[in-house]
Amino acid sequence: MKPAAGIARLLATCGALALALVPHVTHLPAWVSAAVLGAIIWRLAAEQRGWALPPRSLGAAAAVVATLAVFLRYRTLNGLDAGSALLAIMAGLKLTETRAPRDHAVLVFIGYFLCLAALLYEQSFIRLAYSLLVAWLLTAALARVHRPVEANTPVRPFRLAARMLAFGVPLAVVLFLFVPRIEGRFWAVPAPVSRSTTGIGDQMSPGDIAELSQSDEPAFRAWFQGAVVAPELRYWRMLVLEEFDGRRWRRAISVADAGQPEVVPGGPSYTYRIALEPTEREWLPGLDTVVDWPEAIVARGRSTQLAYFDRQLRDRRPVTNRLTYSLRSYPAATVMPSALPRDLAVRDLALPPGRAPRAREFAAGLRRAAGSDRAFIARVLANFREQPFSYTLEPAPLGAEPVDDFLFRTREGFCEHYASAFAVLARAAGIPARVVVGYQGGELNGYGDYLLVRQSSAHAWNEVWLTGSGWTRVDPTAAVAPERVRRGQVTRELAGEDAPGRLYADFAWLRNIRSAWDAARTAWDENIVSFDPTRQAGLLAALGLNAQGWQGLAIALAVGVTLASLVLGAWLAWELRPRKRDALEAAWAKVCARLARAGLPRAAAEGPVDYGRRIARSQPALATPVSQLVDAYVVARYLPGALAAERTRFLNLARRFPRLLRQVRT
Amino acid sequence: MPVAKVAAGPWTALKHAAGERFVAWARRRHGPDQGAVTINRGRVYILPTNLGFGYGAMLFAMLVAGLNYGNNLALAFTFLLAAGGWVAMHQCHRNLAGLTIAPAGTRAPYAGEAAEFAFALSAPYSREDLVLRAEDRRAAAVSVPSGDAATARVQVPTVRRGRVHLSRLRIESSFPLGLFVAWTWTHPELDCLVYPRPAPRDRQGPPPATEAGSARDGRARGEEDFAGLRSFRTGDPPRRIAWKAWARGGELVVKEFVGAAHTPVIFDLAETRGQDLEARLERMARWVVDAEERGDRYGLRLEQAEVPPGAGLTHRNRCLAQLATFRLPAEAR
Repeated sequence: MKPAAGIARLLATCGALALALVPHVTHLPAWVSAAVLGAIIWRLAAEQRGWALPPRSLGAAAAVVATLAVFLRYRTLNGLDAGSALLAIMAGLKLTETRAPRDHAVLVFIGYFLCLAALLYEQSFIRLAYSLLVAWLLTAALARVHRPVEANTPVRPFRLAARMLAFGVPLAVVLFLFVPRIEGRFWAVPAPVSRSTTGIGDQMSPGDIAELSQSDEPAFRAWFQGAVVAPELRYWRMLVLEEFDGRRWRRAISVADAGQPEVVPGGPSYTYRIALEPTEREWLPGLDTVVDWPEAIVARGRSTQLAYFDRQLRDRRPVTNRLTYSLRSYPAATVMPSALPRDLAVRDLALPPGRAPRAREFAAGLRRAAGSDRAFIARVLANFREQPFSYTLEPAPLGAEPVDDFLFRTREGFCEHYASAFAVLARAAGIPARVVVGYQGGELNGYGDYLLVRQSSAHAWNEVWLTGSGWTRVDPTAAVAPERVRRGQVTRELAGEDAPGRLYADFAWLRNIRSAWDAARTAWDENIVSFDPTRQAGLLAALGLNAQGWQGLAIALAVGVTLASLVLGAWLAWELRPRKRDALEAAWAKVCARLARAGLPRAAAEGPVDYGRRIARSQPALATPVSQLVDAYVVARYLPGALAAERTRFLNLARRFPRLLRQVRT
Repeated sequence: MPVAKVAAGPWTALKHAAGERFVAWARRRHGPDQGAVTINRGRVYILPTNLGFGYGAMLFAMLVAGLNYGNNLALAFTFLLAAGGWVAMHQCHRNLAGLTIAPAGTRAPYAGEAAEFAFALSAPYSREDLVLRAEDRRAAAVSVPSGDAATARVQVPTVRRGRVHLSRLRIESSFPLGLFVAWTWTHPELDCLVYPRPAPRDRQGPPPATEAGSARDGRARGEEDFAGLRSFRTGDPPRRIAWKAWARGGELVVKEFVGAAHTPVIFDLAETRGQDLEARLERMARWVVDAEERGDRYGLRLEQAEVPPGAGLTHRNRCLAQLATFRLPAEAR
């Protein structure tokens, strides 16, 4: 192999491989990325300088060490994180011993797997487009290695690979639509630890939601059948926190015995579908108060049971993929109006002994002055409103008694401060109270007719149990910052320069673009990413295929593959059609055909000059016209920089040739 | 290599036997091929290469991963790669089907060198990476431009003088990616002469030249007298071209010598000593080759057969052909 060809091959393979690694750099341990980059640079230098490659035994030893290192880092070799780290390391090691085309092929295959892993991490359109681009480059690298060196021009492998993949699109579409999807998994894989969990957690301490509120990421989207719920009712309940330790609110452990509360529907009901972004947690949002929910969700390699208790929806497993489910809610329902079970009342009145003494004292005084629970609540909210309480994402740090500190000293905070303080005051006044976390708000996307709820709408509020009306929602933040509740998210007026998406607030057109982009992304997620057996069945029905399940899919696959084959056949036939010859060649072919009819066919491997000489020898009468013709042809066709005049000369001679031939032969 | 065959296990032996049966079946199926053969679709065979099998295994692993994670984009990616492989299979097949292959002459070697069979490949549309194989020898890959022809030369090793027979030619291509290999066989039934290998120069005596006429003229070889110039004819040895005259701007002329031209030599097999016919023929081959190089006029006598004196490459080849086929067993002739 010529050294230039060797370098070109290595560059093609290494370049494509490096691009395949790019999406993984964020989650790979830094030493892995550095090692692979080093291996690429070293290998290219070795090729350039002619260094000897290390023996294969050394590579095998390094592979064992690297595998061990990955195992120690992730405590497993299974799953995406460990798997992609292993792939990257193997690519680096393989590179140091890459000699034969087979080694290149292994590198290219690793590259394909890295692309696949990148898609397992993220299913966006852009990620797919990037992966396809890299797959194209990898395929081109494969073509460069496996074709004869002399057959490759610099661009030829790229064109070959592009054509191969482009012609494959129809079949790929057919396979995508009709290959049966399975439910459940073949084997369990650990969730990627490197993936940061976004969204609401199992507990709440000051600062948790404030952090979330600065994220512009979508949390979920909701499609309503009929009317969309009014903005002031957009309270998306996720989970209830009932145990307080003085600083932190936790979910009560013994929730299971709470059972199903009594719900008395009232007011209008809303039916809607929610598509939840992966949260890596079990809790699912639902509009307060959910009355109908699916018992099981079967979607994309995952079937799961939903549990619903104490008006919280819980999945059996953390939500690792986008999850879609349908619900029905009564925002104006009354919950547990008749009586509060004793054990629940005890739990929802409990305060940690000795904590928040000033708040307790204050609450007791206020309750005595108010005379009733409802009046007490109104006074507490009025206190928030009238005293110099302020709403900020960056409150002053709180001391050892956070609730007292907040209520009587700093007086600035975020929804969790208010919710926490309100619950403590209510409990101190003998009113069963708890903290509810979820989302409040949502913006209507005009392009896609859905409600988009972002992480910045994360919110905490309270529920108090009042005789007669049962569990009643109280949002103390609304007393301090009505803007927050009205707009459904943190605004600049509330949070200053830290508010998420503050640029969008200023420019309507920018907001429009963002809405359109989100609608496009949602359509992608809804139709491509969430394509599942249900949609597959719908597609079959739309195509008029009555056969259900596997049978229908088999028929559709057979028909689809046949159609794709026909398309490919036509495409190849068009691409490989006999090309129109140029005038010179056509004229020459005509002369040859004429001579063949005269009994002087040109041999398959005979060039024009040899042919002419043979004719001159066997038919001396033809010697002059034929040699003239051949000379003119050779000059016109092969002489570099042949002029138009020379082409014309040959074409004229060729046109006159049949007549000449007849004259000579008669 | 015989060593490799001994070391091969039963699996290889089985594969080899199956291959032979397949080849015989294909032979019966195709029938004999004469002259130009156009490879129709029915005689193009195609199988994945090792790389292709590896690609398939990779796709299967990707499919399982995609289904396991319930990840539609991973599945879409896998399906596109699979479809690409499927396209490559069709391209590979089409690259061979419809190709016309015609014998385009042979180049006779000396025994021990490789005989060369040339084939003209032509097709209505362009073809790439075509490889011809004969008896484990692989010719360099050639491409055929659209509507044009290309020549591929395949070499067959030879051991002894006589004829080498090309009964089977394998044309294959793993265009475009090497995932699949499509191939076919043709049975051109071509012969190529194999000249005896000229004996080494140092181990032969001076050729016992017999004059065509009566007596030897007593002059030693190489002492011919310059007789004049004549115009160049094809086959004249370059060393006798009057380069100086040509350099002065004249036409290409050849120096003629008295003696060389006028006293032709006849090499007679009877004049060679030794028991081994092959060795004697090799010595004669050396004389012929040397005489041609010197520009002598020479002839050949092999028992009854005789080649009258002459000169030039055509003449030399005729003499060598006589030597190649002399007293060959009937089946090798």
